[in-house]
Amino acid sequence: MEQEIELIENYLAGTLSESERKETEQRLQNDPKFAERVTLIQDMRQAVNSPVEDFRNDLREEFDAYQSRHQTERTPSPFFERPYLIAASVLLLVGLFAIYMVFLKSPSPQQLYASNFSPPPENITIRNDDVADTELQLALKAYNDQQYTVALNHFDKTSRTIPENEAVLFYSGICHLALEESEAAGERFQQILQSSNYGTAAQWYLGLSYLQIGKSDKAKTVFEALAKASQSNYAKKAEYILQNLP
Amino acid sequence: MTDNYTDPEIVQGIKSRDRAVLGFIYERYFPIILDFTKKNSGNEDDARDLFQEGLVIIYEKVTNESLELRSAFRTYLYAVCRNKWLMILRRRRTGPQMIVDTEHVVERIAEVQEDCQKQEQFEVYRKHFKQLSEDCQKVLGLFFQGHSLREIAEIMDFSEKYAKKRKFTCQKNLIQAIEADTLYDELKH
Repeated sequence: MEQEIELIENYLAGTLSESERKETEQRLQNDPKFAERVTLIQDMRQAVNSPVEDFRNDLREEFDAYQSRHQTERTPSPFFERPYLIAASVLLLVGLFAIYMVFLKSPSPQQLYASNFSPPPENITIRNDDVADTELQLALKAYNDQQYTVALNHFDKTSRTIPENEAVLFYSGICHLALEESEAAGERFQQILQSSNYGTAAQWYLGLSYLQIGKSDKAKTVFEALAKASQSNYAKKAEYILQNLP
Repeated sequence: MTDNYTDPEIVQGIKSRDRAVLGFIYERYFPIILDFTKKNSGNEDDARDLFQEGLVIIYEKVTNESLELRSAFRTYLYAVCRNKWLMILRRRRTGPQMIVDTEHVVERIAEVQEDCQKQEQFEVYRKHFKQLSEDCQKVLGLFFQGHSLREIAEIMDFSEKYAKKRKFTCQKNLIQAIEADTLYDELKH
C-alpha cells in the first residue's frame, strides 16, 4: 500500500513524470477502487485540516446570543423604577394563584401524562438466536441506561425485525415516548394493540402518548376501552386518569 | 442587529467566520429552519442542531471550493437543511413519508445532496483520525499541514527515514480504518 500512497500523493502534487501521469490517469478511468482511494487521500487532508470544531463553537455561541437577545426582548427592563408595575404584578400574582387553585383539580393532559409516564423495566425473553444478536443486546443495555436515542438506533438494526416482533415494537415505542416523539410512539403501539403479551400495556402507553400532545379526546377513548376490558393495574390507572381528565 | 448583508457578503462572512455575519444569519434565517423542523416531526433542539450542521456543510464547501450561488442564499441554506433533515429522519426511521415544505425548493437537489454526503464523509475521516495514536495524529497532522518529512523529523526528534516510515504506517492505518467503516461504504453510493 505504501507505494500506492506515494504514487497518489505525487500525482496529486503534480510531481509525476509525463508517462507516469498518463498511466495513473488511465488507471483512474478503469479502476474504480483506485479512483476511490485517490479521492479519499485528497479529502482526508482537507477534512483533518478543516477547523470545523472551532466553527461549531462559533455557531454555538451565536445561537446562545440569539436566544438571549430574544429573551431580553420579552423582559421589561426598568421594572423597579415603576411602582405601578409592582402593584400590577401583585394583582396578577393573586389572579394567577386563584386560577391555579381552580385548575388544580383538573390538570392539563400534559401534566397528567408527566405524572403518569414512567418507562417500564425491560423484560424481553432472550431466545437462543438472540444471543448472537448484538444489536438487540446493545439496544437493551441502552434502554436500561435510559439512553433512548441510542437504544432506538440499535432496535432499528436488530435482526428481530420490527414488523414481526412485538417486544421490539413495544420498547422502541417507549423510547419514542420518553423522547417526546409521541406520534412515532403511537404508531408503534397501534400495531400491537391485539398482542396477548403487550396489548394492554401498549393501550396504556398509547393513551399517554395522546395526552402528551394534548389530544384528550383520543386519550379518553383509549383509556375507556382499557378500563372496561381488563382488571389489570393498567385498567385501574386508566380509571384514575379518566376521573381527572376535564 | 441593524446590519444587513448581501448574499456574497454572507458567503464571505461564513468563510472568514465573521461573527457579525454569523449573528445576522441566525437572526434572519433560524426562524425559517425552526418552522420547517417543527412541521416535520422535530423540536427546537433538532432545529438548533440542524441549523448548525447546515451551516457547517456550507462552511466546508466554501472553504474547500468556491460556492457559486445560483439562487438566493436563503434558498440554498433551506435546501441544505432540508436534505440533512431527510438524512436524519431516514436514520431515525420515524420520518413522515412526505416532507412539508415551508419554502419553495427550486434547484440543485443533486448538488446539495452531494454536499451533505461529502460533509458526512469528512466527519468519518475526522472520527478515525481522532482514534489514531497521539503520535500518529501529530505526524499526520504536520504532514497534512504541508510540513516536509525533514521538518517532521526535526519536530518529532526522529531520523528522516523513520519519519517517512512512521508517516506511511499512520496513513495506512487511517485509510484502512476508514475503508472498514460501514458508514463510509454507505456514503460512497
